[in-house]
Amino acid sequence: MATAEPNGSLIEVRDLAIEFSARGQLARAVDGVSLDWRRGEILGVVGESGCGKSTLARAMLALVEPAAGSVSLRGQVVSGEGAGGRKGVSDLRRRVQMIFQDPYQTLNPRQRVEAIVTEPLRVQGVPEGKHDERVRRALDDVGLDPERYLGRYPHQLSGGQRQRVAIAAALVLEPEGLICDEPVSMLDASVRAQILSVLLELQKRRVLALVFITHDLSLAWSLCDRIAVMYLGRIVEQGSAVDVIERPKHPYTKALVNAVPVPEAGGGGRRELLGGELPDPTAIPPGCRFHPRCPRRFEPCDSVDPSLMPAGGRDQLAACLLHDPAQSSAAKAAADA
Amino acid sequence: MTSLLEVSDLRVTHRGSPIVDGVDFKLDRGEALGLAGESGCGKTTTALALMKLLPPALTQSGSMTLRPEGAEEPINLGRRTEAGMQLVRWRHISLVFQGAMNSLDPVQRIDAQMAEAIRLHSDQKGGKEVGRKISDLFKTVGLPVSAARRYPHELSGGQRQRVMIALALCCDPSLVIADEPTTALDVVMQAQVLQLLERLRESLGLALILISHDLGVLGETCDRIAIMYAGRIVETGPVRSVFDDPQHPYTKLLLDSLPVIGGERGLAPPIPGAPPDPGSPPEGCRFRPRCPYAKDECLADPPLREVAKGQSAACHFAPWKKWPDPRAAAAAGKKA
Amino acid sequence: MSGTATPAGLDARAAAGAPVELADERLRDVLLGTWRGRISVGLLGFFIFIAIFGSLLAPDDPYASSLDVLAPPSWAHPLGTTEQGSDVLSQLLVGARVSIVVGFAAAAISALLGSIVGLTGGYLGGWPDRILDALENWFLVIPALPLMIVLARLLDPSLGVLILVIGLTSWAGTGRIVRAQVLTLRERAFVERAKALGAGDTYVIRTHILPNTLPLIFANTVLIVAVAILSEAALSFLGLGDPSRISWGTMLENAFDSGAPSAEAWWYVIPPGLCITLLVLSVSVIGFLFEEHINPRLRDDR
Repeated sequence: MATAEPNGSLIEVRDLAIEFSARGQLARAVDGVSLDWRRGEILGVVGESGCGKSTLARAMLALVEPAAGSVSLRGQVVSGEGAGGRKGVSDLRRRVQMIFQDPYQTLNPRQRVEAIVTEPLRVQGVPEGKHDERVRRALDDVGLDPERYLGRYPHQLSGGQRQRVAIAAALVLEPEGLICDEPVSMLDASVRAQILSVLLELQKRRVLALVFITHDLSLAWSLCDRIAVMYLGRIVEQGSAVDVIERPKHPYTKALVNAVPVPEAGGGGRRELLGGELPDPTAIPPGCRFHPRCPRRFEPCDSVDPSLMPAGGRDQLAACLLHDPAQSSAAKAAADA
Repeated sequence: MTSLLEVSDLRVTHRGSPIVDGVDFKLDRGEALGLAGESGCGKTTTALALMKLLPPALTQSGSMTLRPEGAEEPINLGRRTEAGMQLVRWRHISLVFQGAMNSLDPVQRIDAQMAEAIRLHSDQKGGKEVGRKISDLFKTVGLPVSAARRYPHELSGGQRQRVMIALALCCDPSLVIADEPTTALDVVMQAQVLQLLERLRESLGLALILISHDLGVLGETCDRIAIMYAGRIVETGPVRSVFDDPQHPYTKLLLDSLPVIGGERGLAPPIPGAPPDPGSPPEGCRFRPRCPYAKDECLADPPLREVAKGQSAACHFAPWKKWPDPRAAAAAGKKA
Repeated sequence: MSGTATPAGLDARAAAGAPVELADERLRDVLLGTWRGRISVGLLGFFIFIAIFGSLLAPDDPYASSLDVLAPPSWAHPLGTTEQGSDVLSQLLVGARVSIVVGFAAAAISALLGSIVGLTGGYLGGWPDRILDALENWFLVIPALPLMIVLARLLDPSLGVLILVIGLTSWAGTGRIVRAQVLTLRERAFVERAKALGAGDTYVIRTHILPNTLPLIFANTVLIVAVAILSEAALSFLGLGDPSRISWGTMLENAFDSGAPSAEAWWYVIPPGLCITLLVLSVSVIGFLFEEHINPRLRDDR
């Protein structure tokens, strides 16, 4: 499978922009995002709903057409500027798969488990003789006994079992990458832990790269190697999971981490919370997008749009003028105030 | 000292098969109790039973006594008729139910909907009076008064949830039951709504029953917590003690599976299997088939009993001094 | 743009047994589980039997005239005779065929047209959808019977024309329902998943869209059968049917033309009228049963 250098990128996103129209206006759900997803890595993409994280995931699978920028698979541009045609996309479709949030929406109610898990093989033209064996192995891998489950319809399965079937269907092509869009947010605690452990075990055994799209920061922190934090279509901070969550450098990340409920009595009463609401993507604030809600904004924040710059830990980047050396004196003053 | 609400042996059945199977708890004035559990464990049914709002196919039994401030006699909710309950709901107990924020009428302005509810449930009838009440309530829940003239779709999810909380407060109840009030909200909104509930408790002396599947949410907001499993409370006690020193294996394993930032990264071994249907529970302890520590004794039904100060658990082996490694315990159990 | 659905909705869907299924809870249970279902299926079966074997069962030549005009029921003519002296029972038995053939054939045309238009519009979206949607609206708004009358007048009356005219004027409702279903299916995760696998449109429509739309099309078509049977009767009653064939509609037309009601010749009016009513009723009940089965909301309210 993976033949090139071990830590190379599986997918590279460069200056990506995705547009959509809302109330007759063009708005950008993703606006200038660059991101590397390395082989065998678990990458977390976190943010509030509406921040563009799911759109970014769909763009990584070339399911939406970029307005600008590009998506490449192992160095080959497959979508956007300089895309090389159908071959690249079909390569992408074989190597990267996706699983979705809602286990009740993700399976066709009129297909049996067998048809659902076989579908990727059929669509990708895998010789029919191999289907049965690979489908059974995929079901075994996710902890479902093929004998018992092959003939069932989705409504005969629990939420957790449905999500297992969806994972089996994603894995049957033996992909190198799996994009998981809120894979457990609709499942109960004990079932959630089961599904996560299935995913993690497969990740280790098959050297699978995972993208975890989630709004659950503690989950992202505990499972991911690296984390990218999105706000209003931009990545505002990225770095190792431990750096970003335990020592956040962007005020928005700090606010998100602050908002996580702590299972300790009276933990939240005293903390400082982010006010206001996520702005409408058709009316993006000038300068730094976060400045109207930012507790630490200072003079140039409403006019200068910061790009990602080194901050704190190794490979940790934050799009915040507090970390811009050119602004350092003003920033210090603001920080001290 | 008398408690605000006393529930004993609450049972809810559907055609004879139990959904809630003997639940007891007490709630003091101004106290916040968290009801935790996975879907189907009976937590929402318990809330609806307290309000006597169960669908007609379900029957409830058991005693529920409410002693609201200023009332001479305790109110026996269990005996109340529907007409009697209408005097209790909203005035003494109100409910913010699951998905409530999507229950606003999309074609009516917020203030019109609130005015209707206030006129229906309180003695305030005059237009000016009601208008003043609405702006007071909006201030209480931290909404701009201008939001009252808007339509529901013009408000965000968090704002709509605030409107629902304002509605629940319109008759100054002594108890608010909130069923998954933050489930559909993002982290930031969730934190704002939880902070609001905490503030209201302090300023209005409100008692709160908070229902959630999210232990983090309950741990942060509540004084006491009750963990439900398959229609029963399996552990209850002060949040601190339950979280620091759980005494039921189910609580212990649930807490272990909850990542806490700054703690240990990675995944704890998940609880195998799925919760049973409370209508046909396994013999003996209901958690037995999934419990790594199960032994022969567990074939007898364990009662909920006090195992530490204020903390009760329904486990034969409680109090647990030390938790063995669940994987090793499960392996040993299988051999035996 | 991550949609956050609440677990509340999830529970509700799980409780409602969300899937749109005809396959598992077998057709038989849907149709024969209730008394009204059993009676309707029995009646429809009976009429279909008559439609097939009616001409063999007819005691007389239904077209043969005699001098025994408008005679009340007797041993020779159990349902009396017409103004031409033909046997009413024989005409009734033979006439069933036209009603049923027109009903089913017109409904089939209507279902086919409606499905094609609804599928294309719903799946493609954009300008093709806008054009097809406008066409649908036009056909929905225009009163069907006058349109049918105009069309039937313009074309030479024959069985084929009748079927075509009824089929062409009744597809818009199906189109609308199919389009709505396709629009929701298109957004479902399993369609997105298939596309992410690289599946083409034909594949997606064949394996994901159509199987989830067919039960709906089917239930709707059964209801259209009832409408088509009534339309045939109405057109024939207005003299726009096929003059060379007997149908229950033409029987009623002849009865009224000959003044049978004022002559108190009830045996000439009631049998075709009753047959039309019973046939339409049985087909409608079957259609409603399907609809109820597909739409859990209707089922819960029962």
